[in-house]
Amino acid sequence: MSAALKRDWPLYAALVTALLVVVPVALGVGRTSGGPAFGLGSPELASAIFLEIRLPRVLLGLLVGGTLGLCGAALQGLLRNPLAEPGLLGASSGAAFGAVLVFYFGLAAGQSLLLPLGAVAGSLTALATLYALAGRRGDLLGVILAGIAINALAAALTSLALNFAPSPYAALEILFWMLGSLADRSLAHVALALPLMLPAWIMLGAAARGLDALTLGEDVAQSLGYDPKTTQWLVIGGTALAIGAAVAVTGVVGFVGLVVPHVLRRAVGFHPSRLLLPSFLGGAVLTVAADLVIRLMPPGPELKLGVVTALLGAPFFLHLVLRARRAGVA
Amino acid sequence: MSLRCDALTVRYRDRVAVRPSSIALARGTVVALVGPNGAGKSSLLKAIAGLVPCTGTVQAGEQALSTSPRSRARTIAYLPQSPAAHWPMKVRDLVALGRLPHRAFGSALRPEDAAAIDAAMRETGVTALAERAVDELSGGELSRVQLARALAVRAPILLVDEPVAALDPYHQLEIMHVLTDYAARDALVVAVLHDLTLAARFAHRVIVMHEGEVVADGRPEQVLSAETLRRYYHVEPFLSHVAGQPLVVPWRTLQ
Repeated sequence: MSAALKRDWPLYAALVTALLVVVPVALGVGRTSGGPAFGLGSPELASAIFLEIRLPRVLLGLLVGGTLGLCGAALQGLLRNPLAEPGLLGASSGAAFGAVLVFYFGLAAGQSLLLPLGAVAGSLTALATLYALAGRRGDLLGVILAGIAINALAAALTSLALNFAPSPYAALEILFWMLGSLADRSLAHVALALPLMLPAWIMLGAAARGLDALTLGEDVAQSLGYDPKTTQWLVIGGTALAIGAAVAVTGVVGFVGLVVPHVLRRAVGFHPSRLLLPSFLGGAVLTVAADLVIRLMPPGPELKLGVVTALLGAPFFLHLVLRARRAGVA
Repeated sequence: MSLRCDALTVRYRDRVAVRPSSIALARGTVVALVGPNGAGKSSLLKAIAGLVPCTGTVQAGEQALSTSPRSRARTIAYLPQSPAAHWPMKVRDLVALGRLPHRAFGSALRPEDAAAIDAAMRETGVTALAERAVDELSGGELSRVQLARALAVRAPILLVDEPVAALDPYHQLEIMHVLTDYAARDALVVAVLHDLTLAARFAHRVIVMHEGEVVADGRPEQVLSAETLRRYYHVEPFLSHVAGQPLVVPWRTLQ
């Protein structure tokens, strides 16, 4: 890691500076029914507002955004495909379905650990299916098609669960949660997600060199001492764990994992390993910044984070697909 | 380093790709593995490299091959028939991937890594391309860069699958010289070749495979006879000698 820091220090300096700007601003801006609120309000409420509203929101933004960026970079490295992303490949919708199932059976009372576990199981199933269907050859089109199929299936099953929801209010609650948001979260959510995310980050970090070796194809990776199967399970397991935890606390926030690694890839010389940590930092910056923009919107119903990232990310994805087609790879 | 295979067998689901083969290869030599398409040459190479499930034993030097993937990776370097380069890295960065088996997790390139990379690029004549992105290279340039990546491992055993297939005559000769020079430093080079003229000229030893079996093995001028070419390749060769070296030119097909 020290080697990467030395080599890519201008990039790290830029990303850390961006964090140092965005985080304090995000901690200083809130939102009330009347639109954005600056500062921490009256002195007697200041510590409560800071600890119970602003801090959890920003912390979760950092954790979830970083996780999305990291997972996107790792999946793109594993599949050797710049269009891979947890949301597009069905990991997020699989996680959402897992979580909805837990909701549906009424198991998610309070801050139950069952919710994130359901989400982890869902995203693991989705990713393992994807890899079995299309992951081995690093084939661009096959992966996207398998992702579409898995997304469609997860969405259909989620709709089915909503269809049978015990009450319209439950359905609405699930629907709003799935849109993806950092609003009204507490430090308990951080405590729920972090223990699952930490080992996931370590797994993804441990896959770094294996991802570099995979640049040369599976046979050569193996001949260099990095068994593609080990790399595959580190990335799929780590991504499922991290995305499951992220979706469980914030719902589905898409496209961060697509956009961030893509923007940073050239700056790290296309090394999958050197892309991981910058993508984490970049994802954290982007997510906290996007959530800040939401709070700065004029009065009205608060936009959901997942809606904003999808609105910005989908055209970006389209642009990448068109460019890939022009280059003749898809 | 010498290499010894005993009863090495590769089975794919419904067919035997390599029938039980026992071969002993001496260090300091270039061994050409030849034979018609589908003869099992690539499978044999992959089995030695530990990339396909196989039965039998592979022994490198005096001991059985280590089961540690990293130690194995330092002993045997492998270059497949059409190596991939999935990201448009710079040429030098791609060659540097050959140093992965030697580097501790998270460590930077050490001076000896840099020296091995520079030497491999010099030997294959790609030093001038160092800063180019690999997706901007011609087919011939890319295959030399990929060979440099395999050379950069500095393994005592080098397995290369059709290293000259995409190259023009100048670079074919260059690369064959690179392989003989590499072997001359006490290494063993096993190369799958389709060009029998190059095999006859540069290899110290030629192994002919046919339908998964080693059917001929020995010095080029013994093995690459008219009889061998008729029987296994179904071609009538033109055989001659130029400056004391064998010349093998497949001339016309036989029915």
